[in-house]
Parts: sequence; structure tokens; C-alpha cells
Amino acid sequence: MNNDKIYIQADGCLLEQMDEDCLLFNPQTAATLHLNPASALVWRLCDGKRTAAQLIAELAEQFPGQAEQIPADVAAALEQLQRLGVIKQKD
Amino acid sequence: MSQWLIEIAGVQETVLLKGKAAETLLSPMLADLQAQVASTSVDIEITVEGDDGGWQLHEAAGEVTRTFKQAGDLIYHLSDRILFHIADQATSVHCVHAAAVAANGRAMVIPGNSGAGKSSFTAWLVANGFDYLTDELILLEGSSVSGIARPIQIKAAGIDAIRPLLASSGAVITGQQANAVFAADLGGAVSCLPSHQLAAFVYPRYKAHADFSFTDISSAEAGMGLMENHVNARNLQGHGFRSAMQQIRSTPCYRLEYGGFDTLPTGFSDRLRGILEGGQ
Repeated sequence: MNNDKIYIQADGCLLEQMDEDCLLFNPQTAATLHLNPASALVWRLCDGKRTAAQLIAELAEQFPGQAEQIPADVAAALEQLQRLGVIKQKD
Repeated sequence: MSQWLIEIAGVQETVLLKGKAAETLLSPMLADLQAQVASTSVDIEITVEGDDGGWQLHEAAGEVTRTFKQAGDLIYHLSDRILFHIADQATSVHCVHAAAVAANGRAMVIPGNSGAGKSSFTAWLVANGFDYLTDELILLEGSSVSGIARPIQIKAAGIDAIRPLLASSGAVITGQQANAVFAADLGGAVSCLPSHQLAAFVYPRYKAHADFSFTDISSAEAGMGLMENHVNARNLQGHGFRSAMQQIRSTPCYRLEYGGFDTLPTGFSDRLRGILEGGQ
């Protein structure tokens, strides 16, 4: 993963908190995705301003006990969310 | 010939019944759909004629004519077309592929794809005293539920399980694709209320020989199930997503797995009634 890349949420996606998890609706595909808390948090942080490296750093600060695992988890989440069409790399 | 106007969720449809046989067969169904005899036709017009020797269903739009040998198949396709137009054009309510029943004005919504067992489970609920709303399409507006009360459609594989619930052996209108069963023939009734308070979602999963289980499910899982069965999302602001999820979060949601009516425990209908009344 290129940690200098900036990710942004796909247009029009809607996130709803459903108890511990989240559902994310993509109007482009009319698909509803079930996100665990970690993936939902990564999606929320893809605001078109943060690089992947900044995203990882922010999460490591928020969850210091998991700092070692966070880069791999963030890479996996970004790959999945991009494949699902709910985030894209900012030009 | 009689001409009926259906008006549901702001969508108007005309059903023309040509001939005594068509009128005798379909007038009860149209009455359950709250259709009124009308003198004028609207854009969506469906004509039915025929008799026990064969039936024809014709839609003015697209000039499509279908023929059926059995009355059950005619009812199946006529109700399918009526529901299609409602779901296609309704813009002020959520249309969800779901069955529903009610007790004391409080509704249990039963979402599910074909084969999930919702029609058979609905027939069992009606036979156990619940008011019938629909076995196929609900209209959800806020927390208010109404249903399209077509005859319950039971597939060939499920009809033998329903027969013991029927008040008389001749109550099934047979077809190859589905058999039609009226709520009255199950000893029940179509709800006479225009709307009902949403009180529970129950997601059924029928599987032959499965054990019974009835469990809470997470709001996320319930929300996924609702959106999978939401059939007019594109007509609604934001695809109706936020308002639908609001209803899920504020309503008890359950998963039912069962392998036949004999696996449903004694007292289960009373337990469901208690849930609708606000207990667990």
C-alpha cells in the first residue's frame, strides 16, 4: 500500500450506526454493506484530506495497545472499502 | 363486466373483469385489496377474462397477454402485476418484500426472499388467530404498517403442510406456480384497520428437518435483511436508507428457523402475541 495516497468517501454514501456495527449504503450500487467498528472508523476517516500514513498514525494514537497491528488492518480495510466502491483514491 | 379501481400508496390501477367466471373468481380478492367498483379507467389497466377452460390476463401497457390453464396461476400473476405497479411507482412509502400479520393493531413484519417460508409461516399465524395483512408486500411509512392483502400464495412444495390448517378441503385455488388461500379459509381475517403500529420484525428461515430456534438478531443484521427486501428504494429520498434504519433500531428483531409447523413449540403463537404487545 502506498501510504502517501489520500482516500475519499464515494459520493452519496450513507453510514448508519446499528448498535456496535455500522451499515453503509452505496447509492451508486444500491448495495448495503455491514461494516465492523474498525472498517467503519477507517471509512469515516477517509475525508479526502488524510493520507493513509496519517490515518494509521491517528489510529495508533487512539488505540496504542494495537499500534503494531494497525498498519496491516488499515491496509486491509482500505483495500476492501475501495474494492466495494465506497472509497476512492483522491487524484 | 365489472371495472375495479385499486388505489394504494398513491398508485391507481384498473382491473377489468370480463365475464361471470372472472367476476366470481376475482371479486373476493379485489375486495380484500380495498378496490372499488369504478366507472372510469386509469393508465394502468389489467383485463381478465376466461373460465375453468382457460384464463387470459392482458395489460394495456405493453400490450402483454398471458394465458393460464389454472385459476391459481391467474391469481398469482394478477396479484404479481398489481404489486409490481405499486412498488414501481410508490414514492411516499417504503415498499418491502415482506409478509405481515397483526394483533390488536400491532404488526409483525416478516421480510424474506422467495423460499424463506414467509407465506407458509403467515398462513400458520393467520390460522392461529393473527389478522392477515399480506404475504408479499408491506407499505411502511414511519412506524405505520399496511399490507397488500392478496390471497396467500403457497407453492406446491408447501401446500400439504397448509391443508390441515384449512377450514375446508375445497378452500385451495390450485395452480402450477402457486396455490391461492384466502385468510377466511384459515379461520382468520384480513385486518380491517387502514394501518398498524410496527411492533416486531421476524426474519424466517425455513429448512426441511431443521430444529426450531427463535433468537434476537442484531440491528445490523436486521437492517441488511430489510434493505435486501426493499423494492422501491430508488423512488425515495436517500433510497429510504436512513428512515428504514431508524425503524429497525427502534423495533425488536428476531430470526426464526424452523423445519415445519410441527417444530414450532406449543405456545409459540402466544409468545409472538406477547412480543407484539410489548413483552419479550
